[in-house]
Amino acid sequence: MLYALRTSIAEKSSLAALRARPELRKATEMMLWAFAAAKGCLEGVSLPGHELGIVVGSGQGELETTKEYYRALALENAARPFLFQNSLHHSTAGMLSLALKITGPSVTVSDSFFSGESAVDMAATLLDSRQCLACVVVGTDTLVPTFDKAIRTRFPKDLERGEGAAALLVAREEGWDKLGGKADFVIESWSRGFEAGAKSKLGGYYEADGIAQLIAGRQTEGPLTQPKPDGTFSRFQLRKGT
Amino acid sequence: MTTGMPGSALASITGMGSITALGEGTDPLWQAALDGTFSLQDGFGPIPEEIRSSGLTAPDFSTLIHRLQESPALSLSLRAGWQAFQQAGWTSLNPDDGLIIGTTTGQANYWEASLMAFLRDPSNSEEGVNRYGGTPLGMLTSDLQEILKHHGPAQTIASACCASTQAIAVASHWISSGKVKRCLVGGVELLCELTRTGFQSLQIASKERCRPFDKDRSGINLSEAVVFLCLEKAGAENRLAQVSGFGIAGDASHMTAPHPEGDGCRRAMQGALSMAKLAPSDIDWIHAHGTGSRHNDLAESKAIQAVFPAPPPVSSTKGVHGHALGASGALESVLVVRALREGRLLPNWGLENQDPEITINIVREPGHSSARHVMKNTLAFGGVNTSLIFSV
Repeated sequence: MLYALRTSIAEKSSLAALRARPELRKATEMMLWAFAAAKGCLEGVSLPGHELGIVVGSGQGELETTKEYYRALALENAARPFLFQNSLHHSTAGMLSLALKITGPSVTVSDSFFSGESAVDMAATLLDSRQCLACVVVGTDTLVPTFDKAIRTRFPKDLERGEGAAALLVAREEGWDKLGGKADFVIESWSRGFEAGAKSKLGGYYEADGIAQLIAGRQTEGPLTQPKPDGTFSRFQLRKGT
Repeated sequence: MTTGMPGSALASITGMGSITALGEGTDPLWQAALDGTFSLQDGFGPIPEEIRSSGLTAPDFSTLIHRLQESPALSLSLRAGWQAFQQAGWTSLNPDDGLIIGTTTGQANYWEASLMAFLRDPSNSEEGVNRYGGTPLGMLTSDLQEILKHHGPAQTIASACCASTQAIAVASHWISSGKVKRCLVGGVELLCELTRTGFQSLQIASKERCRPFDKDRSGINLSEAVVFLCLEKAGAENRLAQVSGFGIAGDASHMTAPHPEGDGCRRAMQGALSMAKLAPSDIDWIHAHGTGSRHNDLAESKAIQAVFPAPPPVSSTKGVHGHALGASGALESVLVVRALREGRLLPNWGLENQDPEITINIVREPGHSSARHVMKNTLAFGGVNTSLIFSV
């Protein structure tokens, strides 16, 4: 069982205030989204940094920054080191580690429509292999207008694309116990369905929003099915927290 | 506490395949690591064009040739994966098998040139933008799943230069925990303008041969590699070597430089030792990350000294094959496995004058070894460190 101790969904309105924080002065838009979500599920949590892990799941990663790097290269023949370092998929996790003083494991996964689910799965791996006692799992993607038309080709025409970030603080029993023995909800298992046929009617969908959808459906007792835009689906088996 | 018995391992490695700047298959890579051949040009190690453009030798892929010709990362992955399959005796991936790919740029070189043309002049074809739409990072794994008709657990790890090292770690855990029976693990890194110019902009890329741990080092060499490994249950009869433990830890120190004392690297190594139930004195050789950047060399050597009261021999082999970024962990694991199999100790090619601040024992010449346990380190941007322990 994976205990979801805390949940957090970032609000766009909170990002402006974050930009003023010294530790975030070099953060990208996606980093701000991710920070807002991760910070939200760590409020009041007291755990040494090395016992805490961070996993970021993102379908597109820092694509906006990557595009800006290429733009500078194409138009000015200038390779900008700052844009380069922030263009990496893992830069978001790196920034979260720095800003939140997380010195346990950090991992980035990118698995298209399953990026959120993949991040939860990775957190379970890190916990089971005792790399950390609790793990912050963030699912995030941002809109990148330059690529919007192209990315839309992978989505149904009537699906509204969005952006955002959501985070869970998860633990196995030992971490759950150490952090107070209370869970918002419990993930008993998850699986991925390869059979196409599930109908997605989501609005504001982003590729890593499996975590946001999980939080939205966390009161479910039993299976929570998340249809994906390509017709496949993920299925969580949930029960209420203790 | 020492065990080191095969049954205590997490997983066996039963097959390996590689395509690198040094050639196709693990033999050219291994031979270069033994004799010190340096074939990188101007500090870069691309996969030679004649190898890159040669056709697939694996059966059943011919109908996909058009798609594969468009994406070198995908076609090279199939070729390297097929090499690993052949050595392991695999013919397919089943639903209870896993697939994990570690990469930092995926199929970026499939779309970046036409994207830059579009950015220079939006009246140019939108081909580059459209190409990207179908190939974000994780699509490399899902494309491979589609081609291999694989409907089992799969994951794309993009943790910078630790990507494929973490992929091996996660695969080992998946197998030891019973999540999958077998797992195909890949490290895929093809150079693109983003990485070429990006590392140059950070002023850590060298046009000369990289010289890890040398006081006269001038920077890193970037290279390409597509490397796949077949992992199965521990104690497999046809094992080449085993994965005994792993550790992953962060620095929270700097976005592009390691902790100055190697704090995260130290904890990653300690975590791997703990998981493998081995003492520092059980480790016979450390295959270092050893990029040839001053920050990395100093941090890693300090971490080694902190973990090992009497450090074993240490070498980096990047002076032969360069730094393959997200694929480096898989690439260098191939060399560790072959060294264990063949009883050899690989030297730190390029070392002439050891940095006086680094007092660990750096291997200067190839030698014979009866090593049973080898530590493999990887350090990455974002302050993440990953260590693996390979055992006979």
